Amino acid sequence: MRRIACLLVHRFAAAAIVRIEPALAGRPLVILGDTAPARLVIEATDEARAQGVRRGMTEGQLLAEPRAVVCRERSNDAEIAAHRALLEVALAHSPRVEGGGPGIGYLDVAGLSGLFGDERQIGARLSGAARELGLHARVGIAGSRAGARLAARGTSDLTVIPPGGEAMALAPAPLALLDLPPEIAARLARWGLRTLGDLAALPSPALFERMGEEGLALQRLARGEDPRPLHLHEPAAMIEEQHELDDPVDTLEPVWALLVALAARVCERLSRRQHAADRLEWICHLADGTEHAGQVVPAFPTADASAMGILLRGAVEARPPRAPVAAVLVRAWPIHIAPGQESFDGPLRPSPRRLAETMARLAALVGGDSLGAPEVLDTHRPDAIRLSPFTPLSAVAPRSRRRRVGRLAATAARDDSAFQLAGRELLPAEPEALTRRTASIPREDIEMTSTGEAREPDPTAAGALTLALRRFRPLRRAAVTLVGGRPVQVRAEGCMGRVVASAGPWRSSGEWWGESRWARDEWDIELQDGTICRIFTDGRTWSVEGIYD
Amino acid sequence: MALLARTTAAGALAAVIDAADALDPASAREAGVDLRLLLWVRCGGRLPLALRAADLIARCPGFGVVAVDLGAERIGRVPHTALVRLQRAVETGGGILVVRALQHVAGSAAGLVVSSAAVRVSWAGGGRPTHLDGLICQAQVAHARGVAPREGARWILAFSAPGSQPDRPAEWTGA
Repeated sequence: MRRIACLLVHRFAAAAIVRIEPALAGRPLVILGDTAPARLVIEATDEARAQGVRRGMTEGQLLAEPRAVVCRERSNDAEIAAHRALLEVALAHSPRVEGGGPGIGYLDVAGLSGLFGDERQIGARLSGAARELGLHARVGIAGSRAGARLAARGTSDLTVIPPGGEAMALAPAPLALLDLPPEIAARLARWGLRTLGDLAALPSPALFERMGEEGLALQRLARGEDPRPLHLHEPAAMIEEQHELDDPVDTLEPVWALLVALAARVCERLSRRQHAADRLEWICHLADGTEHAGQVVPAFPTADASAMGILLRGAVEARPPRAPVAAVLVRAWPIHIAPGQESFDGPLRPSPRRLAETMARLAALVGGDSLGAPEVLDTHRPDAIRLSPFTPLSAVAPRSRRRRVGRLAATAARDDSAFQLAGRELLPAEPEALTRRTASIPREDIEMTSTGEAREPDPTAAGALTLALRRFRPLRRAAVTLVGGRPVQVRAEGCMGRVVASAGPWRSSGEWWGESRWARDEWDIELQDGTICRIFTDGRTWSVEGIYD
Repeated sequence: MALLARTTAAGALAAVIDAADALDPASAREAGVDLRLLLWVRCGGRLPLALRAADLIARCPGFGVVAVDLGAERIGRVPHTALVRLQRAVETGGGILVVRALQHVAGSAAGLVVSSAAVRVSWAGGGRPTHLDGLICQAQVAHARGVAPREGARWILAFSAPGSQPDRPAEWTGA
């Protein structure tokens, strides 16, 4: 049995405007079309109609009398976004959906009772879901598209026509529901037809003789008959929301507010699809005709409106538009997130939302290109690194891998490390003696025990502490004195003195096949003051690459 | 670096707020740090920025260790209010915040202050060194909140140079 639901937004052009400007809800709103030579009223809310505003009035007629109405121009972008949102409501309930023109959507509700209850409950659910997206939709449910649409055009927010009862239920409805062309409406009026029931009751052969196939088609509509199958709607790959400003704004606050509002609507639509977004694009159309665009990448795909709003705010704050903003667009590509769960005994991780917020604030503070997860590139070129997006929630360290970690860290990492370390029975060490003892095991870490003895560590339990290079960025130029080809004196900022020990040169080169070829001789040196540096020469100049720490 | 390695090896997140832009990711990887779990914030020598970044991260529960590297040179006075803010943030966040500087900067906000100094540099190759072998350091508890450290208590630690210079090209030719 075929059962079709129709979602219909009454006075759609006005509803689309109210959706992007919720403050206009309940106010006398008039929508003007950009028709030439005079702009015409194409839609007016009930509050505006109460003040005598009628569809088809010119702007001049509208303004001729003092009326407390709010005028807005028709927005195609707002209507497209609202229509897509309406279809997403339908898609969230059924895969068989058809777009039926602006503000109208059909869905096949046969077999949904097991999921959502009876048809009245389904209708209420559809209506509620549309309301959450800022649309007041009437719902009609019948055995055909025409029956459902005509039912939705009734005065009630929800009309359910029982199976087979379309003709009877629609009979009292006025013929105006069919949106007939004026000449046909006048013709039927001359025949004395007022309701759908009047038209449905006419003998079909006689109607065919007078009006041809068109008359029979109208009669089938009046009876609620529409055997054509649904023309299935393919949802757009992306979700976007746009808002055009009446006047360009040159301050950031309204742009932020608008971006956050648009992001909230995008996230609501994502949630409706059970999807999330791993990036959000924003475009500001500027008054000078150019675009100011960017994108924000949350640390974890999310449909959290609050987190996305903070991300957007941070992004725009870090890179404000250079001219007044005339329109704003926010766009997301939905991705499906498979449900997952962290391991029960795994370490505490930040919530995706908190991490995304923190990353956005950090990006606004230091710049988006100054933070991330470091990555060592697959090349021999020194300091060949890049920062990749910090997405730790997708990187899980294998717990079974044994790492080389120093014991000091192992102790200090405990929560009560401060007291354990301070409270241990440590005896005064004898650096010289220990140095002598440990010189034979330079690659193992050495720990003072409670008896003051230096002992060899268990190599399987924890590895050695390793020296790390503290790099100078940018490199520091150095003046190096050589004797017998070995450095004996170095003068550079923060690294100056007589060389007491040195090892090198370590000669390396690479990328000789391209313009970025490099070659260098490296030395590790120990200065008189104990500083250990790495210096190198490229054949022309000397530089200090960093110090060992 | 060892603390970062241990933290990431356990699967927890770590952050380095690098005021001097001095972190060498190759050294970190050699030390065992899982770079995928390391957030590196490069502050380009801007100390106030580093403190604000540390404050932001410390307030995000879920980071096991937040390391603030204030550079290898002496710095001016660090605002005490900023440090106390950091202390409060860490106490509520549940992680560990480590500040590394050339001098003691955290004042009474620090729970534990450890000072370290190089004792001896070890070179391989006898009188004509062939390569840097390691560094022996002495660490000492300078201050521990609520506990009076024993006079002279110290640790001796040996750091080895990156094993066989692994960050250097495989095809280098030692002269």
